[in-house]
Amino acid sequence: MSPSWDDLWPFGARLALLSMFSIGGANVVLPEIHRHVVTDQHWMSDAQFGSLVALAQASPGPNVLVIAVLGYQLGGMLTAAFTMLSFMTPTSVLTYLLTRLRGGERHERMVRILKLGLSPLTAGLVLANGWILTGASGAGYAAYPIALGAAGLALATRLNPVWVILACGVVGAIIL
Amino acid sequence: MQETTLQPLPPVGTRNLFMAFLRIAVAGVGGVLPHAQHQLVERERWLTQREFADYLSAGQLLPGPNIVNVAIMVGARYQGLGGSLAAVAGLMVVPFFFVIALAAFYRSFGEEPYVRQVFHGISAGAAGLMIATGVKLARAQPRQAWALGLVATAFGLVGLARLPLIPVLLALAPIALWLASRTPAKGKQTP
Repeated sequence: MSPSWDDLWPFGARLALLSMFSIGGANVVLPEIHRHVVTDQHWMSDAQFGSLVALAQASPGPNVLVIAVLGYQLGGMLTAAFTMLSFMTPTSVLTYLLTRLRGGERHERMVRILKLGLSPLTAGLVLANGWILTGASGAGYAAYPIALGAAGLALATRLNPVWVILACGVVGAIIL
Repeated sequence: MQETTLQPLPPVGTRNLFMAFLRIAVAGVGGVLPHAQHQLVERERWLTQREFADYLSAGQLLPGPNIVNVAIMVGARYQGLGGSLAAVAGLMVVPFFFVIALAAFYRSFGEEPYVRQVFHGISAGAAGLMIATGVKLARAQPRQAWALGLVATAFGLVGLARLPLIPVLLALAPIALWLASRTPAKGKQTP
């Protein structure tokens, strides 16, 4: 069910467009990518998508690498590089161009408003992503208590998230 | 973003930028930002704490991965375009191959019955961590009806109603910015 390059070019364009809406990081656009690769195109299953997102989260480095992991599953190394570049180039160019501008007082007020207004949206979108991924984990209804437990651990302790994820893997091996 | 400092800047070459961001990336299991702060502020002393906070909030506001945006800004500050490229390359190259190796493992063994169950558990756990991040972000919002209402609306439209992200953002962002612009800079009262 791997996509051909005829499908990948439009997918790259879609990633480039989505990246411009990824305020707060790549995780915010995962529900949208899930819709495309799982629901609409059937390029991978729910459980595959969920597992690959988890892999990326448990790895060192920026979260955006989830795009490379999904790309690899779709076609291999070249596809991974392609999806990664599609997703990263537009926002990187934008950020670089903005470093050439200088701010003043007006700029400061604008930044304050942008931050104040957009961060509640980011919070809601990250929650939405967590919720959708819980449903897509492949663990069925058992996913909800596992996810709740992981969230509780992460909020209540300062445990490295990698341990939390691995513990959930052990739980999965035992009860699923 | 402050571009001017009074002290002379220490010479920072593209190789330094590459190595510093490589160290940040390699250390950053489960989140690179704390390591970035340590590396850039405490170890290399390229940025003051305040500058780091400014870069980070700019990086979060701009679309795209936060830490990549920070790398671009820090790189550009010292070495222009070449610096940005070196910093981003340092950040991405090792984790990219690491994560691809994991993905290759998954592609070969992910469907084996036992491994599969482990992965289902891991996915649920990773989703839970995402929820925890969302809760932390939501807690950091001002305790005002408009802000909490926006959190709930964004969650409801994308998470529950499963509406596509771009139209939702295009509709909500102007409302959010209008509400934010009516909130005074200091003090906790609603206008």
